[in-house]
Amino acid sequence: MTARRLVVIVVLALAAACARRPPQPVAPVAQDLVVLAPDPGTGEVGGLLVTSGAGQAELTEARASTTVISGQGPGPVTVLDEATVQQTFGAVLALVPDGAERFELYFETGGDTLTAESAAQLPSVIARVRARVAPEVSIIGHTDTTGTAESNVALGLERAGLIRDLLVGDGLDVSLIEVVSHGESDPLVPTPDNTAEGRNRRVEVTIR
Amino acid sequence: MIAPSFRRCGLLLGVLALVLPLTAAAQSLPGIGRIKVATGRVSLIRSGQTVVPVVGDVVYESDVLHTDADGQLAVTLRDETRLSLGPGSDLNLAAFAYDPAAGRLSLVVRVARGILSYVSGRIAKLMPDAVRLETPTSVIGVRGTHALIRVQP
Repeated sequence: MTARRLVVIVVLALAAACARRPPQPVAPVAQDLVVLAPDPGTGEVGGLLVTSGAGQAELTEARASTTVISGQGPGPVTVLDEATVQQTFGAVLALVPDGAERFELYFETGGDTLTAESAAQLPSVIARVRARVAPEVSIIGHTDTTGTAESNVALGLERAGLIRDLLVGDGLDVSLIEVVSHGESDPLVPTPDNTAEGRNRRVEVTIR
Repeated sequence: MIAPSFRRCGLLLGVLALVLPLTAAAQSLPGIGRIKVATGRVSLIRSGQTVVPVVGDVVYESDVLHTDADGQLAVTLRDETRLSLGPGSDLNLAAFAYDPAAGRLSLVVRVARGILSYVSGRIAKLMPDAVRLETPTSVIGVRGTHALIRVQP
């Protein structure tokens, strides 16, 4: 009788111990690792807000990270060392395309004639387009406030079109160039209406 | 320097610009970005068709980019966003709108698995809330500028 009771107690104790053990996952649980990295060009560190289920984690410093496991909120924020980031993300970091490059070209008053200085700069802009892998170009034409707003939209387009035609002449596919005119609506230097201002007679060329 | 035909063309565009609102004066590009890196075995799924992307190919909204265990891809989008995909990745360019003049800005990128580097472009600068990086378990909002994500499904 005593021996049987002992067996029962042992069995119950084992059962209780088993019940307390957490269930073992049968398959790997889905999880994300999210890391905030410095900007590859400027080194600037922004911020990320990671939301999962009811939980949120805010990443605000370089290499701050969180691991998110499916069904749970984001884990605690930890700052990884550079070697750990490189180990996991080194290959993909090496693939990041070059950042966009911007140029401003200036015009003589009232038409689409480049200033001597900007005409001299043009070859280096064309060289940058050639140097980049699979480039696309955005060209935005601007004017000063001389003349009407409507005619300045047309003039801005004419200035932007001049640069586009030069790039197309150099072999860039026209479908890879976006041409826009902001007319007099987006001056570099704000002025009253009907004011000649050389810094506003410009075309912004962005190569990406 | 400028051919007379271009002058006429410029005049025509000018007349159009008088008639059309400012945003309509933009010649919109057909795609939302271009492939900058394509190495190893990679594929692109567009409207159910699978193609092998090469450097210079244009990508469109809803395209799904896939890399095998030896594949890598990188894309620069029209707003200057830069996406790089490591091996064994699947990424959907779920939503893209970049029309600052009309205030239409949106970027939603879904990573089903693999490794992504995201470097923000103009959309995140102009309207940070318009950018969402999604995984099967999380949504990542961007305050700038560079996110690294590993998704293990």
